[in-house]
Amino acid sequence: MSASDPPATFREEAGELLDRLEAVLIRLEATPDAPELIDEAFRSLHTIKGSGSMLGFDELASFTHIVEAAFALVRDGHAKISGSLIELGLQARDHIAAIMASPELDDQTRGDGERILEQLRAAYPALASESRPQASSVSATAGPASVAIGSADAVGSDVATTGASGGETTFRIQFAPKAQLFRIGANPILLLKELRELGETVIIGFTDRLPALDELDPEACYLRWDILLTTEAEENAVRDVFIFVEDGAEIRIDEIDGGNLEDSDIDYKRIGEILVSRGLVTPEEIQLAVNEKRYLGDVLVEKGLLTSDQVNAALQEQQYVRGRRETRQRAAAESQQSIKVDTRKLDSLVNLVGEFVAEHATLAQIAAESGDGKLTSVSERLESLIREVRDVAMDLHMVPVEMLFSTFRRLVRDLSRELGKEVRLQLEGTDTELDKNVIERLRDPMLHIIRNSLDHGLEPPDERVRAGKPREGTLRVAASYSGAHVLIRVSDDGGGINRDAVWRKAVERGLLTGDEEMEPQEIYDLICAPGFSTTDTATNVSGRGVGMDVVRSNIEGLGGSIHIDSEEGHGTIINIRIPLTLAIVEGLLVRVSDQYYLVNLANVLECIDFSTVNRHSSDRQLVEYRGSLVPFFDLDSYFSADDGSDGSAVDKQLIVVSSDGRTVGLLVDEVYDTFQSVIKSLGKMYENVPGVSGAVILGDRRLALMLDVDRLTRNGVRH
Amino acid sequence: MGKKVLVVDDSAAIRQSVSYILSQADYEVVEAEDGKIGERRLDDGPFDLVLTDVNMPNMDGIELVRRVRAHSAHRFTPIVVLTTESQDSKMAEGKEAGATGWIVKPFDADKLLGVVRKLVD
Repeated sequence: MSASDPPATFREEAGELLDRLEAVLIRLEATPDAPELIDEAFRSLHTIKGSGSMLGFDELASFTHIVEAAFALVRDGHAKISGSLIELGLQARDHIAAIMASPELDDQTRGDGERILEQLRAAYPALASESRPQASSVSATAGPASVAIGSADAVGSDVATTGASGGETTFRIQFAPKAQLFRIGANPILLLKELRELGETVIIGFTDRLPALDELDPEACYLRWDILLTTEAEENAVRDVFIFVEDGAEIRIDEIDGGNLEDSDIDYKRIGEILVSRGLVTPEEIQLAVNEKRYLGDVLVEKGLLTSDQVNAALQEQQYVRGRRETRQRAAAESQQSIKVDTRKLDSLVNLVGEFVAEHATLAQIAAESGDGKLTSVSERLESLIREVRDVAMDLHMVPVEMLFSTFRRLVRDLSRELGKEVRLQLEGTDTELDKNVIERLRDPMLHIIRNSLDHGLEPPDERVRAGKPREGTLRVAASYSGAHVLIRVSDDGGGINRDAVWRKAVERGLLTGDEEMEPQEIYDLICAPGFSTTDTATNVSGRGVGMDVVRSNIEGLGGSIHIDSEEGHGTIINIRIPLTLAIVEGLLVRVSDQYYLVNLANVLECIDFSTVNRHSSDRQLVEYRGSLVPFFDLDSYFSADDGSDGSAVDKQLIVVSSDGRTVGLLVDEVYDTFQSVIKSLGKMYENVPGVSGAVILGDRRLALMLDVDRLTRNGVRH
Repeated sequence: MGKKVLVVDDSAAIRQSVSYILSQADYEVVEAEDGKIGERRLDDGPFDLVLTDVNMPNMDGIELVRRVRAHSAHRFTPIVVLTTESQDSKMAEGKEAGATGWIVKPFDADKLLGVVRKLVD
C-alpha cells in the first residue's frame, strides 16, 4: 500500500475514473444499448461521489450525485439513453476535473456546473427530486487524521452521552431475539455490553424458550433478556443500541422510573401492575388471580399464564425501582440538610460567641470569689457548653483555602504571559479549611509572594534550559494542618536567593554591623525586616524583598509567622503559619509587674518555678530545659526596657514557649489559669508595639495584652 | 494483536481512510479491491468483521454478503455494508442477503468506530 494520504489518493483515483468515464461515454455513443457500459459509467460516478464526500470534496460530491442519478435512471430502466445524456456526461466529466484542479471555484466554472445540471433536469424530470445534498461544513483539507465529513449520524457512536437535564431515567427493555439472529452475524452479548456502558443495569436472562436437547438447533438463538437500565441517555439513544437488530428481534422499551422528584413515591407499582405493563397478562387475568386471595405470582404460574422466571423478573423490577427511589429520596433529604447563610450573620454569630466567652470569664471569677459551690458548678457546666457552641460556630466559619488558591490560577496565567515565562502552578491541600476572615486577610500577602516568585524567582525559559532545568518553572502552593495552625508553603524551583547579597544589603542598610554570626535561615529572614528593601534594590538580591516587611506584618497581624528558605540556583520556599481562627484563643493568663498578659496556650510547653531551674554555669541567660539549653529573658525588663537585671528572679515563674521550632523561656511574676477570649485589635496606634499582638478583656473588666510569642521567641534566640 | 477486519472497497482512498481509522484504534486491517478479491481474502481470516462497499466491479458487496453467509467457516462473521444515502433499496437488499449492519456514507471516524465496536467484542 502506498503512503497513506487519502486526499492525494483520491485525486489520483478520480483522475483514472474520469478517464475511464470518458472512454465509456465515447463507446456508448457507438453502442447505446450496452447495459454494462451504462453500469460502468454509473459506477465510476458513484465511486467519485462516495470517496469525494468521505474526503471532504463536498462541491464535487454534490455535483456528481445528480449526474450519477441520471445514469441510475437509465440503468434501472426508468429513462432512455440519449445523445444529449452522453454529451452532458462528457461535459460533467470535464467539470468534475475542473473542480478537482481548483478547490476554489470561480464564477465561470460554477456557472458551467449549474448549466449542466439544469440541462440534465430538463432532459430527465425525475431528477427534480434529487437535490444537491449540500454537504456538511467540512473543509477540503481533510487528511488521514480527520476523515471527518458528514452530517449528524443516526448510528452508534453518539449514543452514550446525552446528559439529559432531567437526570437519570430507568428503562425496562424486553429484548427477545428471533431464532435466526446469529445468522446475520449479530451478537446479543455485545448489545448487552453496550447497554451496560450507558448506565447501571440489571440483566435478567430467560431460558424458557430452550427446547429439549435433541430438538435444539445449535445455530439458533433461544435466549431472551429483560434489562433494567438506569441512564442519563434518552430513549432514542437506548433504542439506537438495537438499530441493527430491529428486524431480527422483538424489542420493547418502556420508561419505568423518571428522575423527577414528583414521582418518587417510594411505592412503585404492584406486581400485578408490572406484569400488565410488561404485556404478559391482562388486567382481567390479574383480577381473577387476585380473587383467589393467595400469593399472586403463584396463582399465575399455576394457571400456566406465566413462568416463574417472569414473575421473578417482575419482582426484581419492583425491588430495583424501589431501591432507586429510596436512594433518590435520601439524596434529596441530604441536600436539604444544608442551607445557605449570609456570611454577615455568621460573622455576628462568631462575635457573639466571643462575647459570650468573655462574659463567662466574669461569671467564673465571681463564682470563684463567692466560694459558692452551686454557683461554681453552674459556671463550669456553662463553660463546657460555651466551648461546644464556640467549636460549632468556628466550624461554620471555616472555608476551604481553595477559595483563595483558585484565584492564583488567573494571576499566574496572566503574569507569566506578561513576563514571557512558562510556569506551572501546582495547588495542593486546597481542601484545608481556615477561618473565612483569615483567608480574606491572607489574600494580599499571598498575592504579593506569588508575584515576587514569578517576577524574580522563576527564570525565563531559555535561562532555565541553560541551567539544566525544564523550560517550565513550577510554582507550588500547598496548605496543610499543623495542630491549631495551618501551614501554607509557597515554593518555586527558580533561581533562589543570593545570601551574600542579602547580607551586604542588610549591612548597607544599617540593619547589621557586619560582625554578626547568623544562620542561613536568619539571613533570609532579614528580607522581611522593616527597612531592608525598597523596590529599587529588589533585583540586586535576586528579586526577593519587595515589600516583604509589609507581607510579614500582615501575616503577624493574623497571629501568624513567615519564614524564608532558599537554595541559590534551586529555588525558594516561603513558609507561612497561620492560626486556624482569629476570633477566639485559649491562653494562659500571667502577670508581669502590675500588667496582665495572655500567652497562647498552643505555644506553651511548660510552666516551671524559676527557683528550681538550673541555669547554665557560664552563660547566665541560658537555662537547662529537658536536656538542652534554652535562652530566657524577663518580660518585665523586656517591656520596661530595663537592662535585664534579674536580681529578684527567684520568686518568678518560667514559662517555656516555642514557636516554629524556637524555644525560649519567659520570666513572669505570677501564672493564673487558662482563659478563653476574643482577641481585640490594639488599633492603629499600637499595632506595631513589639511583643504584643492584641488585647483581651478579663472577667473583672481589666485588660490583658496578648503576647506575640513568635516575635518573642525570635528575639529571645537572638538575645 | 487487535481484532481483524476485512475492508472491501474499490476506492483506494476509502480503503486508506478506513484502514487508517481502524489501525489507529488497534484493529488489524486486510484490504480488498472488490467483492471477488474480498471473497478470496476470507482465507486470510478468520475475520472479526467485514466492511464492504456496495457498488464494485467484478463482484458487488451484496453478492459478497451472500457468499460469506453461505461459507461454512465464515457465515457468522458480522458484515457491515457501506452504502450511500441514495441507496435505500441497496440497504434492504443487503439486509436481505444477511448483512449485520450498515454505515451510510459519508461517515467520520467516530461513526465508523461506533459501529465497529457494536459488532466486535
